[in-house]
Amino acid sequence: MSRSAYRCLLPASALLLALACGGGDRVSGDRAATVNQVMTISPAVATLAPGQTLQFTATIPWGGSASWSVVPATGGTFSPTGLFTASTTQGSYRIVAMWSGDVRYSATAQATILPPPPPTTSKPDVVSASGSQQGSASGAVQNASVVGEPVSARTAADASATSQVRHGYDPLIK
Amino acid sequence: MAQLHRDLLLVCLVAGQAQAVELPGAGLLGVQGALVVPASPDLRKTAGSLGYALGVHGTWAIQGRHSLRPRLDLTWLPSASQASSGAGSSQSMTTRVSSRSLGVDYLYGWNDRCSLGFGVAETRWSVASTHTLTLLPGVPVTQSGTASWTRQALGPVATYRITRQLEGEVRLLRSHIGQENQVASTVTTGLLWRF
Repeated sequence: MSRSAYRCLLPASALLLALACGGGDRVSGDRAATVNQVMTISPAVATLAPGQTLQFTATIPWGGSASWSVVPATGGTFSPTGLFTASTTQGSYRIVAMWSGDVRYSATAQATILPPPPPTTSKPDVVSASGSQQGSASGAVQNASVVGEPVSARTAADASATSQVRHGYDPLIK
Repeated sequence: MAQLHRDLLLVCLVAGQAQAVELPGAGLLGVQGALVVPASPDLRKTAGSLGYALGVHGTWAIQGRHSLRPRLDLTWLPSASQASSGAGSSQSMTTRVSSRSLGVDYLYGWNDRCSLGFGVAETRWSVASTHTLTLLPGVPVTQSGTASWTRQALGPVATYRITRQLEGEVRLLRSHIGQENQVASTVTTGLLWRF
């Protein structure tokens, strides 16, 4: 290339590079380590009972939908619209949403799944509801009038095979 | 791809029509290739260092020293990766930027060989991304996808005619990219070969 070419292109190149390289850097939401800065999840923290459902919502400045995940996956399942169904596995889980319009944008939330309630048990010798309990033919347990509270079954005290209990007071009225 | 075919057809039509009406020095169709340097910080983070561009153009000498150069440029920039970690979690992104640009350069013949001017273009940017969030060790969440935006580009151009058919050029195009309209500037240094 001749000297005139250098005289033409080199200064032009220097000018263009100077113009192009100006300006400072700024952090944008599509950068690593900027998760949650542009996009958010509501609610950010949630506590659920096993099997409970909860609608998570991703707020995205430009609209559109998000893809949903729960980490670890044993925490439950997501519908495409963000409806979360908790599993029965107690624990703390992370919710992740990534914007479908540009997967570089993401947000996280926290979900806690409570332990399952203790199983309901009944003892055969306890009447646990208002009403009456029908005793056996041997008279071991006979009708017992109750008012919404457990009453221990017991052998009837007399020939009528009837025992009475007073609300809030047990043992038997004599 | 259909859009690309329409773009190519448009460039050929403009240059070919200029040739057909026998404007002075008109209608020289050609191809170009260039090295592309992302010149703005945002684009450098997303697109890495050095890419390349290929394209077609026509040259239309409109009057005296003035000429127009409709052109189509396809640009491929290398992939870039970002990563961060902290508080038991880590995040990584791999991105690859490409663009398809249809525009026109205005050139003023400074002398027999040098021309200075500016270019305007409609640019379709695309960013193919893979995003991985690891919030628990060994349990990554990964999503991939491509996002695209159409933005205008504008910038100065300098060219040097090496031979009758070969011309060197330096261009700066300043555009924007992404949902947050980050500045996307590129400097290209290339060669144009006219048929």
